Amino acid sequence: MEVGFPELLPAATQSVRLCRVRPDEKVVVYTDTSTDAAIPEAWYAACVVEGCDVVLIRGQAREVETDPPLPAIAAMTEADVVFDIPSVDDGYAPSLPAILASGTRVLQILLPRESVIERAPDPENSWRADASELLMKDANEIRIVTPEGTDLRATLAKDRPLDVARGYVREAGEWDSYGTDLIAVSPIEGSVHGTIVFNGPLILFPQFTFSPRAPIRVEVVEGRITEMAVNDEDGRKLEWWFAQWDDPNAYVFSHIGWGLDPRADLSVYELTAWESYDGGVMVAFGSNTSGALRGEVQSQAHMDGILLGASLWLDDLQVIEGGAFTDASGLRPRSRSTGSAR
Amino acid sequence: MDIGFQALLPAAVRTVDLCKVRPDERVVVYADSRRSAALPEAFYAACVARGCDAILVRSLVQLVATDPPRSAVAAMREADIVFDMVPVPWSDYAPAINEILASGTRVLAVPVSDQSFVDRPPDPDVLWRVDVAEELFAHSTEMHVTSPEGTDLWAHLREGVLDPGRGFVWKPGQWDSCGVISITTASHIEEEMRGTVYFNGPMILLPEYEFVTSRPIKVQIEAGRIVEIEADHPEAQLFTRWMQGWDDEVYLISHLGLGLDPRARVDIHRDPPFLHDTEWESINGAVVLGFGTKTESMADEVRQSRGHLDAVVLGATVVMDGRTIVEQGSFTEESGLGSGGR
Repeated sequence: MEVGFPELLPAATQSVRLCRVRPDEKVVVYTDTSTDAAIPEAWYAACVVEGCDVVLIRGQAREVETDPPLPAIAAMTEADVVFDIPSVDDGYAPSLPAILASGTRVLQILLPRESVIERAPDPENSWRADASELLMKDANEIRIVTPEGTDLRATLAKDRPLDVARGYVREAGEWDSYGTDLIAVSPIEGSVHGTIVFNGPLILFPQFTFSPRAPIRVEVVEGRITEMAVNDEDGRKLEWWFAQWDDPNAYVFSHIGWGLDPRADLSVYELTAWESYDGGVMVAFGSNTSGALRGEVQSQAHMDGILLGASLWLDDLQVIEGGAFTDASGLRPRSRSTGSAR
Repeated sequence: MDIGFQALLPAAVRTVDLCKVRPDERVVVYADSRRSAALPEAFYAACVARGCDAILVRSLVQLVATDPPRSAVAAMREADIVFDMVPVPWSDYAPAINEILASGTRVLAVPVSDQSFVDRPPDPDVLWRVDVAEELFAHSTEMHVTSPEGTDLWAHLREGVLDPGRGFVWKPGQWDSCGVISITTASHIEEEMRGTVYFNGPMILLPEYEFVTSRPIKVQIEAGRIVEIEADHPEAQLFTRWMQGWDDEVYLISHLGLGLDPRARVDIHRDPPFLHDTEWESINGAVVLGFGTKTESMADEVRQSRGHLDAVVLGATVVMDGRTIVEQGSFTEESGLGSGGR
């Protein structure tokens, strides 16, 4: 189905309502010149439908994780809510923490048109995010294992927030990304230790997004990649991607967590779906200073890797076994099967 | 009429160049939902062509002389220059303009239709006239205006800020309106102005009315204030009612000046939602009187009123310090403004 403005508007309207945008709130829709214009126009119209005196701001397309122009930052800082609709990820842009600190809540929308509709926030699934948050907040240690050889441990910091992505924002200073349904946390960076074998989708902005044909093994010591087994073209891509930043922080562990959206389909090229893949374990390197994570690693680099078929423990509780949530976790989806809703 | 982006771009580039926009400057192009996309896009493209990281800000339509949403104001305050494309003017009299200009932002209002922008762009063949008129006003202390209908008005011109309208801005905190080619004085003008005026031309009574009066409207002015309106015909009665709808300050003279653009005409084609005001205030040799609000860009002092009107006297004779500058609507040779071009 070809999706246009009329199809996008109901999804945008639902999003605005889930964000509890009030008519008296100051709303900014931010976008750039490379974004599909129908999406920001749909959010703009949705805000108008809800009675808001909304402002649409368009900047030039930028590099990944870079700030918009200063006047746009000023407008966002002044706003109550920002619908941020860029063409590339800016969730780790340096200006974002200050914008959030001003009380602005920010919802990033970084999906193609079809996914905006097909993977709108699902209130029927949101209990799993709540349950995940309860599990994670009391845990001290996280461990992941995969059949290919992943075996990684990390200590969780009690003073860092949990990034519970539901796809909408309600609280002042909150950040979220539409279409993401996951939980993530930045552990104490120096505590991360072990082996990761990437066997699923890799999101290497801005150049590469692919699933490696053969697993790629990296060694992590005290939170930093110290060794990478480069055996093929995909491995060389990964190695080159890290090296291009010329930034030691690119190699530092960023966050860890799991996906919760049974509708997410890995066969569809849609990055938030990859991150949200139900039972997928996400590990990331590079920046983790976003408002939702509040880690200590500042870098222009940020990558995400999804481990498939992984097992995950929080302390002694096994949450995921072979890519599926355990009964003990209480996170098995109700009356839905994994895979695409298409 | 939609004349298109390509036709508008050269004049937009010329205007951006006259405004001496540098690549490192923060540029905001502001428009509302009533303005078609072509002219804002032309200015945006002109700024990008000059190397600027410009942003385009769009809001809903606001009432005349009403502030934009606060987020848009914040963006403008942070900018070095704002190109304001809103068709119905706000930035000449809305409260927020003073804080925007005080931050050092220069603002060029472009409230003209696309056709008018192409027909009357800033042009060196016209702009020299503003320099000559500015010199004339700077060295004059008294203005006497008469007309065949019976206008007989005296004004003492105080030393202070002059407001020459060139249609471009190049200094911090400067405001101008594209399409207005005129010279205006406003500083303390109300302190010594008296006499009779017959408005016999365009009347700009925002937001409701814009018309060329079919019969002269006689007003009596004492100490810079309209003290009597002879409501002896329907247009004069409408004028009286309009004045009564505001506050006491609307009866006070705001500015006094002369139009300087030989290209400007009375009988211009109406192209809603655009007003005639910029063209009517620029009619060569016309005397323009404004009442009500006065802003920092016009004078040494600020006066807030809920209302502002501009009224034009055609075919007048203007004597400044004993020298006849305009005779029956035409600049004299003695004024230095007698020729149409240079």
